[in-house]
Amino acid sequence: MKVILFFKLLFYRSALFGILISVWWIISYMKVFPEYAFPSPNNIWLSFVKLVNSFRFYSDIMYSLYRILFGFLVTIFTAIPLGVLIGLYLRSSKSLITVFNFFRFISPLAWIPFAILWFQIGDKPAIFIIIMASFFPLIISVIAAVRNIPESFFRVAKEYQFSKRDMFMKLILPAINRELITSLRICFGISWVVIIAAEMVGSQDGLGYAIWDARNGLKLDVAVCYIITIGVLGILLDNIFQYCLTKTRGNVYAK
Amino acid sequence: MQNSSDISVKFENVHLSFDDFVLFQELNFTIKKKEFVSIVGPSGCGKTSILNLIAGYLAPSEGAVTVNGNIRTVFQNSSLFPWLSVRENILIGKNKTKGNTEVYKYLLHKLKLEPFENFYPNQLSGGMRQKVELMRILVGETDIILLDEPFSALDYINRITIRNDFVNAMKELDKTIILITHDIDEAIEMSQRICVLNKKPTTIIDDIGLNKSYSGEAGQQQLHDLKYSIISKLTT
Repeated sequence: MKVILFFKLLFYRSALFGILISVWWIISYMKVFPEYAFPSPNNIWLSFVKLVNSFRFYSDIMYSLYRILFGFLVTIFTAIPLGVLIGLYLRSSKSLITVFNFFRFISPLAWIPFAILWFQIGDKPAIFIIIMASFFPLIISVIAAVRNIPESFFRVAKEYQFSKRDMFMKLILPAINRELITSLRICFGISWVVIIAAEMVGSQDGLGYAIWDARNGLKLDVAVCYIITIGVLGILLDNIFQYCLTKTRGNVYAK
Repeated sequence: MQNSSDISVKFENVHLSFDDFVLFQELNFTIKKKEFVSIVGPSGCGKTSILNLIAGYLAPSEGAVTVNGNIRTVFQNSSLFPWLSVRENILIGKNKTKGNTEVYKYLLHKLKLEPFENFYPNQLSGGMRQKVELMRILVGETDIILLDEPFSALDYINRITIRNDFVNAMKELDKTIILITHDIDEAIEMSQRICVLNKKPTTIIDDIGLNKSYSGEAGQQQLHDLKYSIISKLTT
């Protein structure tokens, strides 16, 4: 049964990508756009083969992954404890939420000029942008999730004299973990989108810079290869979060 | 004069008001150690507020609430942690000691929960969840047990069996128990004493001691009369 389902899914997915590639091929065959601006699938394939044999391809991927991981870890280790503390102890923190919301609605890309001025070209501006992109949505959702924990759970914790550690590890974290993973997933999506733009202007390497570099050299076939890589990597990384979601027994609140 | 060490809970001239709304005025009562008291009253009369005052989640506007000993509560709706198994839910926090593990095994057998030890709350029926919650209370070291309509969400059969299980388990552990309920049969059947509350501002209108020797036809008649006298007090 599972095998049939697997092949069914595989068939649908390949059919969908097949249609996409055919439309692409037809447009390029009909020469709607000039060849240099709209590379054909065969050209892309050829440059892709060349690309995966080059060192630079992997180093670009590693640079982007390193920056996003670093920025994301900073966000995780600041936004989660801070959000939990605010959610627990500041029962009316509307003004604080307004401040977080203010920053949340500023496009992270708006910080690029400042990031470059403050941190020069390199890893730091990209990491800074990642933090700006992920910190505020994450902290807001952590605060909301903590406040959603039923009051009776805290009474149980008090009556059974939970230690501070138990309070965090056995009550708060498991109670919010599903919401947490979902918001991490969303924040990661935003960060993945944002890092490409950040690297285009603030770095000398990474996937974003590679696209920019290819454009400058009018090698749009290479740019498309990088775009495909970004999409595929995004799906793979998102799958990690989805996998974590299936492995957590969150707050399926007993009615 | 009662010795103060015999007293578990004492309300002295307790006033409680929320803004303009006065809930309690001059509420006075004492609950002795190891007593099983039921508090019955119409809905909205502040039964749960009494429990919150005892547990310290509410402070009286005036007067004093004295409590001797630590408190644990069984709620109307399950407060089991959905991410922990039955075993983990029962041996939670301060419940997790070596001695308690023995008590745990004994009670698990007695309440027939053995096959469900590794189940999660959402895999259990409502009745079983409530059983687990009662067991959690019984395992730990506690002096005062507060029951906030713990049986009201259960169906009739479950209510009877779990009530019996609980009463049987209680016989072996001498603890102060305060039961909030709107079910007069339940109050008569389980407790040694019934406090009847009326509405607005709430005071105790009757305090009935029960001796558990209502046997034979005369006894049944006495219980029947008692039940209807409480009902008539609540409805007027």
